Amino acid sequence: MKSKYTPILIALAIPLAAIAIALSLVYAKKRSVSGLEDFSYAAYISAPKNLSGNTYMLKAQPDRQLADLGETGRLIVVKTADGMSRLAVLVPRTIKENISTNRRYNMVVKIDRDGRVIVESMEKY
Amino acid sequence: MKIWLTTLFGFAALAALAQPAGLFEGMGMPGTSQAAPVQQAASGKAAPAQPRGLLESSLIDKNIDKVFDVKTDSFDIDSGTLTWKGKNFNIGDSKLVRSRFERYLAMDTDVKDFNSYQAILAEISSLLSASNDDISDDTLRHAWNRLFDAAEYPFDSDMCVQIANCVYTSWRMKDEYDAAKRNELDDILKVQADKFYAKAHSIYAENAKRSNLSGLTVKQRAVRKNESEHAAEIAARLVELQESKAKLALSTAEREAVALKAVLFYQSQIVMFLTERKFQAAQLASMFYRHIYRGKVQNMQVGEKELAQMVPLSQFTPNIDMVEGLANEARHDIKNGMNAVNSLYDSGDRFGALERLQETFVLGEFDPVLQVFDSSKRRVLHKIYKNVVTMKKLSESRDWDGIEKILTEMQTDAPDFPATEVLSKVRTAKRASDMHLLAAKQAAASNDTEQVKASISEAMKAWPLNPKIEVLNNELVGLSTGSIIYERKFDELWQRKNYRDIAAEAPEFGLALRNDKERLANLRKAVSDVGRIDAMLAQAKEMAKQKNPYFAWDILENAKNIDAKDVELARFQAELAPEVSDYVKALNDAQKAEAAGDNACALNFYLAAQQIFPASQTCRLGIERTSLKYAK
Repeated sequence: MKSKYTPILIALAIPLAAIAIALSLVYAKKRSVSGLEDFSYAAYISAPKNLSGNTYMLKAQPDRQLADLGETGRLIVVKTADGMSRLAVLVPRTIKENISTNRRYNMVVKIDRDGRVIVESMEKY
Repeated sequence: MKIWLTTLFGFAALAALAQPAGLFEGMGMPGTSQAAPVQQAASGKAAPAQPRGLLESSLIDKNIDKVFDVKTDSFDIDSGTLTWKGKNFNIGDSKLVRSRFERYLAMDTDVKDFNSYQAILAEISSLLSASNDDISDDTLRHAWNRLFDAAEYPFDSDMCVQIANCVYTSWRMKDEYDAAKRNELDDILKVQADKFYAKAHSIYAENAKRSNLSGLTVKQRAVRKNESEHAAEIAARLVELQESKAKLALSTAEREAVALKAVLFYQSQIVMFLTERKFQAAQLASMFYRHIYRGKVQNMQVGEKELAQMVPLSQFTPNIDMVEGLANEARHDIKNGMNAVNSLYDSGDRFGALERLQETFVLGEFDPVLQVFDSSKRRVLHKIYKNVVTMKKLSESRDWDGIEKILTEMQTDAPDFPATEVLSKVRTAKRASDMHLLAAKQAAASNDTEQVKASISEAMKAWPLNPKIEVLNNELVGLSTGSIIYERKFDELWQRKNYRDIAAEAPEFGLALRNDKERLANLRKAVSDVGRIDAMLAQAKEMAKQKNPYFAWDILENAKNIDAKDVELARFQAELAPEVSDYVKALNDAQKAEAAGDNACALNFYLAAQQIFPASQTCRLGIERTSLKYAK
């Protein structure tokens, strides 16, 4: 015999399942690009040196170049993905990528012991 | 003052006797010379037109001397000499004269019996007047008795007793003279007797010899002619005669001495009365003398030389009548003087009355006319006198204010006092002192210490009690003291970097430190910095008012670069901070990180702050600084 609650349960289960699948896909996607955690600006700015030695994935858009530090690289200011914050990152000379202010980049950044944010790799997206 | 002055005031001592003097009943007497101490006759000085002023020294200023000066030809109190029409009269030490005059002014005399006293003296004068040339001994004695009656009155001051004593002494010496005369007569008789006896014996001896030689041969006479009989007797008689003559000479000398003694004693007393200015006594004593001594004894044997010098007449012979005349003249002048005093007083010229009284006093100090001067008038004149003396003393100490006060009083008591002249001098001196003080102030402003001292010194010379001197001194001391205080204060504030308090008293510090270049430079810097901070504060407050708190904060950050510890700056920052707390936090983090050398962190903090306030100059400059050091 069929229960009168079965349609209701099915109706609820379908959206729930969809959500779960979406979340898992997002999580998977997140981890799938490089296996890196996304850079948290709030965590960084509250205590930069706490993140020293860590590597993160930073999605940002260059804002301006602050200085050309010669062989060390270029110091640029990038806007974070939410556009709310500005961050100074060092792009070493080894990275040959042209930096454009109207492109977004996925940057793999490492926080050194002095709190510098150094770009290890970057690709447009 | 007339001839009597020119004759009287030249002597002060006894002179040589010149003439033999008769005595008592005019019997001739051998004169004796007797040297006497002679004092210098007065040097002739030009007589002044009017005696002036009162009794003070030469210390006072010349102009006031004109009012108070007594160093005139007539009146030299300082040396105790009254010089009157060229003759000097020693009236004693100046202080004693002054004190006697003051005492005289302060005395209160009961004059109700003066007329009775004067009546007795008038009676005596009448009995002894020159018109009564030959008065009986009884009349003379009656006049002498009346002297004692007059002596009972206080005005007499025992003058009549002195005269009575002189007269009595003369009478007593007359008895001595009579006794000496009798002795002399006895000695004369003795001499005559001795002469007779000597002569008789000589005659007898001659007759006896002649008788013995008769009936002898020539040869026998020749042998016996040198024999003398009765020689011893004759020699004895001759010796006795010589002794008698010597004794006679001695008796004669004694008689003469007694006579001379009596005359000299009386005349000395009269002269003393004159020198002591007791003219009434001299007058009466002369009158008695004229009746007691006759003939040549009327000539003065005491002070004769000085009297002759006083009266420049050829063959001048001073006698008792002349002395009496001098005394009369003096008394007349004293009476005239007192009349002038009363007249001036009654007409309101009280200062003039005081001057005339002073002159009359030194002349007639012992005359009864002065004793009966109205007591109420004396009190007023005494008050004027004391005021004048006080003014003299104040002028010596240059107390001009004190003199002005007294002058105001004097206007009422002595309208004829030359107050204008004195006041003019006083005001001139005050003005001069004030001018010197003004110069001192100017010198103080230009820091000329030596000139300040010199000017103040001159001001004090002109008017030592000038109240403005003390005020100026206090100002100068305050200035000096204040400079030291302000230097210390400046150093303390500078050390504490309390520039705002320094700027608050900038004018005072400026004045105190005007000669200290280093401190002055620091003062300028402090004032400048505080001024700039205040300007920025004003801007910031304006921004805050316009709802630009971040802009305001930025301005305050710039002001912090000038003086981070400024109180007003800190206060406004504290007020503003809540409105810009996120920005302040980011900025503070950036500045701390930059200060710690964490340039990467600092850069990001500046960026974060700039994100809050994009127009921030502080952030911009911070970013520029830290960017360049990012890799270090």
